[in-house]
Amino acid sequence: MALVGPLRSVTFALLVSLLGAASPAAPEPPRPTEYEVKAAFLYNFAKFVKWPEDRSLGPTFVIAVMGEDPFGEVLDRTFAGKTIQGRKTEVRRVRTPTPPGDLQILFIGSSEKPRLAQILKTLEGGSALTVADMEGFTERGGMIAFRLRSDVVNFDINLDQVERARLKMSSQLIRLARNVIGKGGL
Amino acid sequence: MPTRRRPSEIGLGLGLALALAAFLGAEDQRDLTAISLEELAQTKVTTVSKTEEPRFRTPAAVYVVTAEDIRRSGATSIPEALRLAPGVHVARINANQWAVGIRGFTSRLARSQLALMDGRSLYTPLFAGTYWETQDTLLEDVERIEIERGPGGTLWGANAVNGIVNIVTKDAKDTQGWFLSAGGGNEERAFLRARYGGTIAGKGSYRVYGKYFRRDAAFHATTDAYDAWHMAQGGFRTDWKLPGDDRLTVQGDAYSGRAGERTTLSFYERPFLRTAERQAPLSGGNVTARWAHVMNGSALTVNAYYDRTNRAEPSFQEARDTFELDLQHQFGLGQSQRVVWGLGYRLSDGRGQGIETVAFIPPDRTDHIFSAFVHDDVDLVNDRLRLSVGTKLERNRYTGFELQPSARLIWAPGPRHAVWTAASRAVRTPSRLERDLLLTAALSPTAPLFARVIGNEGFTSEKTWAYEAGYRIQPADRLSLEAAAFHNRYRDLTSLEQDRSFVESGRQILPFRFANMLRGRSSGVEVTSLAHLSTRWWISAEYSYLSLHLETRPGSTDTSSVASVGSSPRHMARAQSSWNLPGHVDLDVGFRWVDRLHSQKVPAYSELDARAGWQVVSRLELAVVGQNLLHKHHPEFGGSPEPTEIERSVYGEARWRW
Repeated sequence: MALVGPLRSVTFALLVSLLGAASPAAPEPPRPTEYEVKAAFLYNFAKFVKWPEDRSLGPTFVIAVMGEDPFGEVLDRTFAGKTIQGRKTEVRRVRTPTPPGDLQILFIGSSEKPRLAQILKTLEGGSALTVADMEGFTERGGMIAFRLRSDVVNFDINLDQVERARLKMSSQLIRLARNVIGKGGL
Repeated sequence: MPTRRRPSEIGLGLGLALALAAFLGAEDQRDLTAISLEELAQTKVTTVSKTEEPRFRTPAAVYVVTAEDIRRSGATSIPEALRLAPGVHVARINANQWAVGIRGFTSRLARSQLALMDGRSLYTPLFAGTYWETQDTLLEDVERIEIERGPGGTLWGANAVNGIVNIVTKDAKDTQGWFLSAGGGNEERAFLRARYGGTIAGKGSYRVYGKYFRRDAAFHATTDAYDAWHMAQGGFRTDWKLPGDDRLTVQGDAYSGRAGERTTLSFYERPFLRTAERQAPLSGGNVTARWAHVMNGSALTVNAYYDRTNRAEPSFQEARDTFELDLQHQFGLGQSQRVVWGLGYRLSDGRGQGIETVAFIPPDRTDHIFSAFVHDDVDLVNDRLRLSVGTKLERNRYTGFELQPSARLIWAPGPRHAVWTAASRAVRTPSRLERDLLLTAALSPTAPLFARVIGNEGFTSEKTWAYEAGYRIQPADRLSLEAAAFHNRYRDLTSLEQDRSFVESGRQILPFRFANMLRGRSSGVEVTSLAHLSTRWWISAEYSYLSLHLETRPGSTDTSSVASVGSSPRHMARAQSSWNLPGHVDLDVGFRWVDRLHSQKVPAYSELDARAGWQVVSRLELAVVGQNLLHKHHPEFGGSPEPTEIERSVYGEARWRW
């Protein structure tokens, strides 16, 4: 216990010198919620992915949420007044995947996990970017899976699936991914 | 203590000023779509588990083994998965027993390491340590295993002197649908694992699992292959969303199996030494409930569990019930401080019975442990310099109050550099072993000559002062390096004092007594590196060095304990290369080198593990795993009574998900 004394005074001196010397630091802005950040990521995915200019793009750019919706109004707010590839954006909630051309980004809620294979199969041949929160999503044929690690949102990409849907993903986006399945370096 | 008040006053004043500024500025929310992608990828979000700070900014030597790491390693048990962490010495004693050491003191029951799974202590207070063979779950449902090297007594309590293993399983919402895995091989004879997860009408989610394995015996040069074993385990977890932001988790497990053991037993009548082989029945179960209440800026967690273990080994059997209740509250103090405090109570009741030469006096004993802790995390300079100070106060029946303070400081000048340092005091409290044991061992099969180990009511806690420092750097996006160094000073370590021999009913008895006459110091370094060479190829390398020195205090008659230094390797190295090959094939190769253990008479060894996994379709993955590929068999730890060697293992596995 002899060390507690000196340790305490060192700690104290450090505290005083640091708190005294440092100019009052700017307060950390209040942290956004997980889904505010994920919604902003969806917007960035829309910006950093190119959809083929054919029937896969309708008159509006549609971001759809299927199943249980974790975003709420956050998603609508995020895309309000935004344009993607020259089109106005529209946020929809859907129960079943719709024919190609009707939607460009599909967020699949975790409630749909039991039906995932079926949903992904329906989307085959189309150019919808599939995104989800669920574990193992990219391994199971999804394109982008969000992950939350240490309070920071990041994501995995299944590049094979992205390319199969004829989507062009910017390398800037790929570089930020935690894990990339499929075509890459080597 | 007037000097103590000033910094907290300054901190409080600054905190209040910052809180006010934050309140006034709260109206203008940032538009997250306007910031760069890179910035977005570093934005911290509010989550329920507020204590989960980025590992990069943690002022401790923490390593996290992720679910993906475990899957790609091909590990089939928790102790095997611990090999993935730097500075952790895992030695398989035989097919069903492991010795684990963090920063030294490797032993089957490592007394100074704490292990937890979802808030439940895996440490047995009878023999002091963790029986790894009965700590299991569905490894696919493990979210991460955090391994903290060094003392963590402030937050975790007594016995977290040299390290903590904290196993966290996934939320039930992340384990939805079916998972089925089946396979087998020459050592992993057969295994089957199944899990189903579903939701409960939008209110929550659940999973249930079951698993079974049968494992072959290890290699025995001179004895029967006695150590084959099998185990069945099942369990569940439910996670509920309650009104507000509250969460409720209820989970439980039950297991039962038999592990082959061979023990030399001592008796007072001829033959004094007899060897027993037995399929020891091991079983147990537990239920945990955890309620998290999140308020604006603060969180309250209440965790309660009940755990039952039954062990019936050839020489001793015990049934133990443990009940624990923990309360933890964390809140922000201003903008720059986060305070966590908690209270805990644990009841542990053991009823044991041994053969005539193995006894605990009294045979049954109920221990009550009360604890309280407070921990303050102070952001001194704009998230660049942070100080963590705290202490735990614990009361146990053997040594009364134990104080375990610690101070940790981290300086992160940028997002890619961090330097940290820490000083902590930690204790290892006595177990029933040192207080209540009465163990007699025959020294000869034919002559009535016995050694007797006697518990000592005066045995006190082992004390440690630990000084640590670490450095983390990410020189490029794809490269990260980490180094940690430590110096520990140990006092009052366990010794076995030899007393004057005497004669009892015609038997010559050499008595030994537990005492605290050993002291020592250890120093070491652990270096970890990870490089992503491309999007489909990454490599990691780790090295650890340990120098441990023990000595008896003047007056001690202990001549053997100092040798326990030689149960941990001086050098350890590990390297792993992982590839995502075309055609949905994962390939992982891990190499390890472990220095010799001279007190265990185990030479240095190299071994290689490899796994190839092929994602045939999205629902099905096939894998082939090879473990210990370099040798037909090799020893990792001195077996008792005869040395046992771990054999090369190859198994195949099919995994379905839907």
